[in-house]
Amino acid sequence: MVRLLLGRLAGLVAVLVAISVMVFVIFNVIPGGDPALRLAGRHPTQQNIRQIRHDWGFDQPLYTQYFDMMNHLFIERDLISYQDQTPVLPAIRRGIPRTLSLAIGAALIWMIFGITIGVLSGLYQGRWLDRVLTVVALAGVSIPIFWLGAVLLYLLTYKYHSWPVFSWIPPGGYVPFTQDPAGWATHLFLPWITLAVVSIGFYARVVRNSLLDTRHQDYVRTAKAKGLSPSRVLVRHTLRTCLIPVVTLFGLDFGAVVGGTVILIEPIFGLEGVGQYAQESVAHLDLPPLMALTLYGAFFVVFFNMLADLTYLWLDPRSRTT
Amino acid sequence: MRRILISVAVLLLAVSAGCGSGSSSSAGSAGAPVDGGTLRGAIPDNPDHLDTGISFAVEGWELLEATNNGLLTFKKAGGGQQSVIEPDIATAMPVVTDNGRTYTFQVRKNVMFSPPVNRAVRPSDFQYAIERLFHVGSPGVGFYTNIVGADAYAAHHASHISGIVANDKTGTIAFHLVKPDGAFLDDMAIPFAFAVPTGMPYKDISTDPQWRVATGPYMVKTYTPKQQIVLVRNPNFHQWTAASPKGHVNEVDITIGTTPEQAVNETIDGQLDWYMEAVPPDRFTALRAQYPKQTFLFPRNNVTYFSMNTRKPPFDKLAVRQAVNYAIDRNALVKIFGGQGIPSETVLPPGFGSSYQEHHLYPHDLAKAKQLIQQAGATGASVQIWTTNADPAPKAAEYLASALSQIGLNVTGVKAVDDSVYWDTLLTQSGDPQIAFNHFDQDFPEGEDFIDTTLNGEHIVNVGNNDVSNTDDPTLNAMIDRTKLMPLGAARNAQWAKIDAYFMQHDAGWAPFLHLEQATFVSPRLHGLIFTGSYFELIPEMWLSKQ
Repeated sequence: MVRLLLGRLAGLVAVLVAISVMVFVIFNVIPGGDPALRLAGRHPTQQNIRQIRHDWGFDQPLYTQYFDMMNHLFIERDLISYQDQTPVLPAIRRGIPRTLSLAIGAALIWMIFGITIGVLSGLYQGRWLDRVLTVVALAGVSIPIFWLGAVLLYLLTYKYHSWPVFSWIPPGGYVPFTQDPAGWATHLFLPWITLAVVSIGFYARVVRNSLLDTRHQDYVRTAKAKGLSPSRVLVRHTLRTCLIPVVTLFGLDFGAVVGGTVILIEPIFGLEGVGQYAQESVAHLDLPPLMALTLYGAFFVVFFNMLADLTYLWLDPRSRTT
Repeated sequence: MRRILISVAVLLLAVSAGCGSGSSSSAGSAGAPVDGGTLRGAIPDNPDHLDTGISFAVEGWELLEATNNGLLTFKKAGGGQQSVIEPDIATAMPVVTDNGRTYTFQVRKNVMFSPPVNRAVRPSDFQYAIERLFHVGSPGVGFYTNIVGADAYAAHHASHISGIVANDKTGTIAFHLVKPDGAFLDDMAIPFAFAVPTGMPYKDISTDPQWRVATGPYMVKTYTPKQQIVLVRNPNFHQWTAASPKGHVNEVDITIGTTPEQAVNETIDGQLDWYMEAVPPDRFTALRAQYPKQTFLFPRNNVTYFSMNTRKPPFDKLAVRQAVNYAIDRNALVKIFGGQGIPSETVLPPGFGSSYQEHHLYPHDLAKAKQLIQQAGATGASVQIWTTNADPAPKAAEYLASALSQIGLNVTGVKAVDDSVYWDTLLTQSGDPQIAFNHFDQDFPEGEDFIDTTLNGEHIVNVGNNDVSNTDDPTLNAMIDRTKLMPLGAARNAQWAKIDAYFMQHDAGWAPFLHLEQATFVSPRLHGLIFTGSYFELIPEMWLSKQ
C-alpha cells in the first residue's frame, strides 16, 4: 500500500511537471502569446517593448523564464498576472472555497439521486418506474449544462422570480458559509442543480446496469438461497459490489469537475471561483494564472484518481492481491 | 486603447432582434441632484489597473476619472462636446509658442493630493508622471515620445526628459515638442498625464493604498482584486471650477465578478444601481419595453469595419475594395449587431464633433459591385474571411461571405479565430488575412487617433501594425501629416473629415459599417448619467434619489 502511495505521489509530481512545461511552451509559440506587445499597448515604441521585455524577463531564454515562473509560483509564492498585475495565488485561494462549495454540494446531490434512481431502476427493471426513470436519466445526460444554467437563471431569477416559490432564489453571486450558511446554500442552489443534473442521469445508468449485473452473480444467488432477507442481500451483497465502478467514476469525475467543469458553471452564476478565474485568464491569454490554474486542475484530477484507486482497493479485496 | 473593451464589447454582443432606437449621451435626470447615499456598482472582472500610468482600458479610466486629474480634461459632457478640451488643474489653456512646439501651463496652487500624501500638487508632479511612464512599461509611452529628450530618457541617457521644464516656484510647466502636434492637448487630458506625487514607485500601485492617492472628488478606499472596489469622498478635495464636479454620492461600492445577466437581475431586484459593462443585447429589447426610464443607448466613439489587405490580391485593386463597399448592406449588418449602433461608412464616429461628416459614397448596390469586380478582372478570385469567434462577429463575416459570393468572388471560407489571440494576430504582418472583421475604439476623441494610427502608411511595421489594411497612399499620408500639425479646432476637424472621405473614395481599404452604442440599464434611483467616449458614465455626475 505504501509503495503504491509513493508511486502515485511520484506520478503526480511527474504529471504536474509535464503539464507545466507543455502549457509554458504552448503559450510561447501561439500567435498573440507575446505579453510584452500586449503590455506595450496600441502605440508601442520599440524602446518601450524592449524595456518591458527586460523588466519582465521576457528577453531571457525560455528555460530561465520557466524556472523563474515556477520559482514565483511555488517558492516565492508571489506570481502576478500579466493582465492586471494582481497576485495570482490569493485569487486562487479566494476561489477555492467557492469552487469546492459548488463541487462538493453538487457531488452530494448527484451521488444521492444518481444512486437512488439507479437502484430503483434496477430493482424495478422493465416496469413503468424503470422506464420513467430511464427517460429522466437520459434527458439529464443530454442537457448541456451551460444551457441549463442560463435557462434556469433566466426563468427562476427573472421571468418567474416574482412567484413566491422562486422569490428566495438570488440572481447569482456567492455568500461565504461562515458569513451566512443559509445565504450560502440559497446562492449555490441553482449552480448545484445545474452541475448535478447531468451526472445524476449518468450515474443512475451506471448503477442500474451494475446492479443488474451483480444481481445475477453466484454469490448473490447463494445469499438468497441461504434465506437472507431481500434488503440484506441488496445492502450487504449487491450494493457494495455494484458501487465499485461508481467509486472509480466518481474519482475521475470529481477531479474533472473541480479542475475543469466549473469553468462552464461559475461564469454563468458569477461565483468568482477558480473556474471563473480560469475562464477570464484564457480570455486574456494571461499565462501566470493560466499556469497556476492548470496545475491546480491537474492536481485535483490526479489526486482524486489516486483516492479512487485506494477506495477501490478497500471495497474490492480481490484487487489487493493483484 | 482598450483591448479589454474590444473583447468584452464584442463578446457581449449576442444576436438579438432589433431594439428600440434613440440614444442620448446624458440621461436619467429627475430634478435637481441630491447629495449623499451609496452607489452600488458592479463590474465583471478587475479593472485593468487603478494606476494612471498603466491603465489603458475603459474600466480603469472610468474610475480614475473620478479620482484623479490632469492639467487638462475633456469636457464633462456628452455628444459632440465630449471632445472639447478644458483646463483642469491648469489655470487656463496653455500658452502655445515656438510655432506650436512649446506648451506652457500655469498650475493651480490649491489642488491637494488625498491622504496619506496631503500636500498641494506641484508642476514637478506632472513631469514625474510622464517620466514614470518610461519606467513602468506603460502602454502610454507612445503618446509622449514627441517631447524633446524623451528618446534619450527612454534610453537611460538622461536623468530627466529635457523637454519638460517644471518650475515649482512659479507654478509653471513647459513642454517642448520635437515637432508641432495639435493633439498634444489630447495627450495631456488622458490619465497617463494625470498628476502623481513625485516619488511614486516605478511599479503598479493599484493595490498599494500608500501611493494610490487622488486629486479628484473621490479616492479609492479599498481595492481587493476579484472582490470589491470602494470609492469614498476625498477629504482634501474642494471644487476649483464648475468644470471639476464635486461628486454627489458619498460612497461607491463596486462588486467585482458580477456577470451581465446577474447584473440585470440584481438591478431589477433592487440590489444594484449601476453596471460598468453593457447589458446583454438579447435582454435589452425586453428591458427597454419594461423599464423605458432605466434603459439607455449611449453613442460610443468606435468604428466596426472589414479591413481589406491592400497587399494581397484581389484586394490590391481599388475597384475590388470599392466593390466590397457597394456589396454590403450596412443596415443589415447593424441588425446583426442587435440594432445597437449607427450604420455608417465613415472612419470617424459621430462623437467627434465636426470631424464627423457623413458621406454616401457607397449605397448598397450589388449590380455595381459585380460590375467593378468584372472590370478589375477579379471574378472567381479566391477570398478567405477572418473573424474573431466572439459573437456576433462570425455572423457578420458570414454575411460578408454571402455578399462577396454574390458579386463574383470565390469565398473559400470564414476562419473564426479565438478572440484571445485574434486581435494580436491581425496586428502582425506574417499572419495578415486578405479581409477581416475589425474594430477600433478611441484612445482620445480626436481624428488623429483614428486616422493617423490606422491609415498612415508611415507607421506600417511588421509587429504591432495598426494599419491592418496596409494602406500606404503618399497623398493620404501627406494630408494626415499636415493635419497633425494644425491646432485643434474647426479647421483641423474639417481636414479630418476631408481625409475620411478621401480615404473612402481613393483608397477604400476599409468597408466601415457600424458605430456601436453602449446599452445601459440602471436602477430607478440612479440619475445624472453623462456618457463620454473617453470615460463612459461619469461617476462624479451620478446621484441617487431618496427612495
